Parts: sequence; structure tokens; C-alpha cells
Amino acid sequence: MTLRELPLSDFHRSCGARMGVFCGWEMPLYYRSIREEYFACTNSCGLFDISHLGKFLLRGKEATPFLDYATCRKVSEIKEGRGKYIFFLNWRGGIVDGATLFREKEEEWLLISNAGAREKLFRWLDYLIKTNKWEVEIEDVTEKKALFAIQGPEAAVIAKELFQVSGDNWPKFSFRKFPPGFQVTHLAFSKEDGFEIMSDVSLGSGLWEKLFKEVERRGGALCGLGARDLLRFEATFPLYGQEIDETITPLELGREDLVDWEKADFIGKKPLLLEKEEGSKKRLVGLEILGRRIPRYGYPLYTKEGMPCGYVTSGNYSFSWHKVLALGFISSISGEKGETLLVAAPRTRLEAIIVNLPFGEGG
Amino acid sequence: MNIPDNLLYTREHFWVKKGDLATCGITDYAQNELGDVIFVELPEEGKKVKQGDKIGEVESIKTVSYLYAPLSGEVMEVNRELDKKPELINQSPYGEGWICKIQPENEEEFKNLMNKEEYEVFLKTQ
Repeated sequence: MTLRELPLSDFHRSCGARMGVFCGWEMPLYYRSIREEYFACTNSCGLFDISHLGKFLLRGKEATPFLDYATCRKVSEIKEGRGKYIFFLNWRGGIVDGATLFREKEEEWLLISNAGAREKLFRWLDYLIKTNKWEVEIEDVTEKKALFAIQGPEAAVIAKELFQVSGDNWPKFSFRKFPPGFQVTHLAFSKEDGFEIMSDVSLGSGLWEKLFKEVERRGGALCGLGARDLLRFEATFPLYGQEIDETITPLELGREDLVDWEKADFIGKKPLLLEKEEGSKKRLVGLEILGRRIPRYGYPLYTKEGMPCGYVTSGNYSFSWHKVLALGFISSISGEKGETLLVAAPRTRLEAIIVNLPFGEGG
Repeated sequence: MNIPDNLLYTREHFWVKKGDLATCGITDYAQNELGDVIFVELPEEGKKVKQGDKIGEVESIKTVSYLYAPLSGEVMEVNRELDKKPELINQSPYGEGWICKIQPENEEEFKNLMNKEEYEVFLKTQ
């Protein structure tokens, strides 16, 4: 497989970015340090190039009923100019991907997917459309579009100044379009406020320059995937390939709020209903680790008595809370809040205390 | 990339400063490769080590790496500040971020270390 490059990758390298491979893309991991970039996002503003995210357009007479059937949320309720975070499920109720879906027009939708799920999701949707002969066209526009994010307390000020928006009435998950072709969405993959700005690739470098100037002027920083991952982790947003994959259901993830049971039918509804009746087999928990070793994806979890009970999906060190935290799935019969589990790390076992999710809320 | 010319270097990216005791730590290149360090498992004081032995670990947000003894001898002192402030390794790899002081037992082993120029050439192969 050839490595994909961001349209602005030369620029990132010239700014000293440490590049690394993520989901087949060569991406900036950090420019100076994850710590500095993290604090830029909590104190002022960080600028991210997230053009690697999957971008699909769906249009056609049946685009809306199709999406209502293919996702477990009621998307037909979404108004033009608005969006929602949604799950696509497989026939067993497992998550194909968690994505954001925006209504461009009555029967035209923009879908932003996890980079790691892009090809798979496209094939899945294309298969559903073709086998059931839905009147929907799907187009993968990932490499035609640049997508940048600004995150942090100053993000709103920058968005308003750059796009000359007056007033504060810009709800989360809504987007606006500005000439010559910028689509700006009020949304952040973190607890902090933020905006995501999309344009055609041809307008990307000009847009990036403008954003960079504003972010720099306010003491912000260019940020890589390291800071992005830590920020999403602290906010307990699931990442594809870690908290989300096809063996995990929305109920196991603790996100029944993203399932609309009243919809007549959707893919995965039956197995999900059964799971609701019988109880989930596993569930996502937050873990506070004693010490400063970071549990990584796949490390096994054990009860204090030494019984295997699950695995870690993400671990990181929170610079704000000064502790190592982790997310993981455990079998539903084990582990209540406050109980101690053991993480099997190479050459050592780490003690982990179960805490409430999302992190930081009465944990 | 900061590579002081008064130090000696190993292939495992340790620097060594000659003196009564050999002070050592990880190089600027190594700290930059590791990224933000959040935990250092220091060698034990009083422990006898052989050149090339694993003597500790560094945990960064990105990865975990071993520390390898640059010389044989006894670990006389370790930098306890790193327990509280592991980030000193990133901020000052050749200064406040030093890791340990070793009483070398074999002067011959210094010949296995690289000088600044040799280390620079070595880094190009990394």
C-alpha cells in the first residue's frame, strides 16, 4: 500500500513536524512536543491538519431514508446546515464506524469518517446501496478536500474574525459556508471548543496560512496527532480501531443515547434489542492507573484475584490531571466503580482503579 | 540537534561525561525521538552494571524504551529529581536531565564510545 500524503505535508515538514504513519497516512505526530501542543489547545488555540479523515458525499432521491436505515440514530430529523455524531452498525449490531453526518441539502449529505474506517465504510455503504437498489449516489471526496481544525478557548474568536460572523448564535454541530468555498463547522474532537474548516484542496494552503497567522498571533500552536489523541481521550471520545470496532456495540460502549429505538428499522436493530434485553457481555470502563506507566492498546486486564476480565483500548497521561488514565472493555460480571483491576504490562503489573466515565466528571 | 563536543556517546544514545565519576544521560536526539517523557525507572544505586546492560526504562507518551549502561562499574548516584520531574529529560538532556553517575571499573571501555563527530556520523545511519 502506498503511503498517502497530506496536501500540505511539505509545509508541515518545513515547520519541523515529526511525521509518522497513521492509518496509511503520513501525518504530523507533533511539531515541538505533545505537552506544549496540548496546553496550546487548553489555554489558547491549536491548529490541526485533519485532511486524512474520510469524506463522503451522499445524494439522491432516497439519501435520507437510506441513511435512516443504515445508521442507528434518527438522521431524518437533522435540519439543513446541521449534523450529528452517528454510528453505522453491521448486521450483528457491531460498529462499522462512528462518524459525523451533516445535512447539506434536503437529499444531500456529507459524511466525515474515521481515517481507519474510510475504505471499509465506503464499501459497506456502496454494498448496501447496490444490493437494495437505493436511489443514492455515494462519492468519496477524501482526497479532493482539505480539512483543518482549530481547538481551544480562542477558536471561536478566530472563526468569527476570519469569517466575519457577528453574534454568538452558532450551535454545536452546525455549519456555515463562506466564499470562496469554506465550510466551517462548530465542532471539536475534545472538551474544548473548536471549529473544523473544509475546502477544496486548491484553497487549502491559503486557508491554512490564514488560520496559522491567527493562531500564532494568539500564542497558539501547530498541533499533531499526539495532542489530538490526548484531547479526545480526556474527553472520552472513542477512536476507531481502539474503542470502536465491529465486535463492539453502542450499548457496550455505553452510548445507548445514540440509538433511536423508535425508528421502525435500522441495520443491527434486532441484535441490539436482544442485547438490551439480555444484558451486554462487556462494557467500557475508565481506569485510573497507579504510577506512571502507560497501558497501551491490547494489554490484558485481570481482576484482583487474577481472573482475565478484559483489555485496554487506550491509555495516556493527562497533563491536566497529572495522572495516567486508560479506557478498556471488561466483562459485565466484573468490576464496579472504585474496584481495583490489574493491567498486564510487559515485565510488570499495574494497579488500576475503575472510575466514572466520561473522565473528569465526579470520577 | 545539540551534540556537545566534550561528551562521549553510545550507540544506544547515552552520553557520558568523564570525571571522577562518569555522569551519563540520554542524548538530545534520543529525547526528541521519545517525545514527552512521563516516567523514568532509574537504575538502583549501588548496583554493579556491565557495559550494555539494561539498567532502566523511559516511558514517554509515544513509547517505552530501555536504558543501557554506557560503561561497566557501580552506579553511585541517580538523579532523584526525575521521579518528580521526568520532563527534565526533554528540557535539559545534558544538564538537569542527567540520569546516573557510574564509578567506571575499566578505563579501556571508553574506547568503545564515540566522540561528537563519530556520533554525528552514526546518527545519519539511524
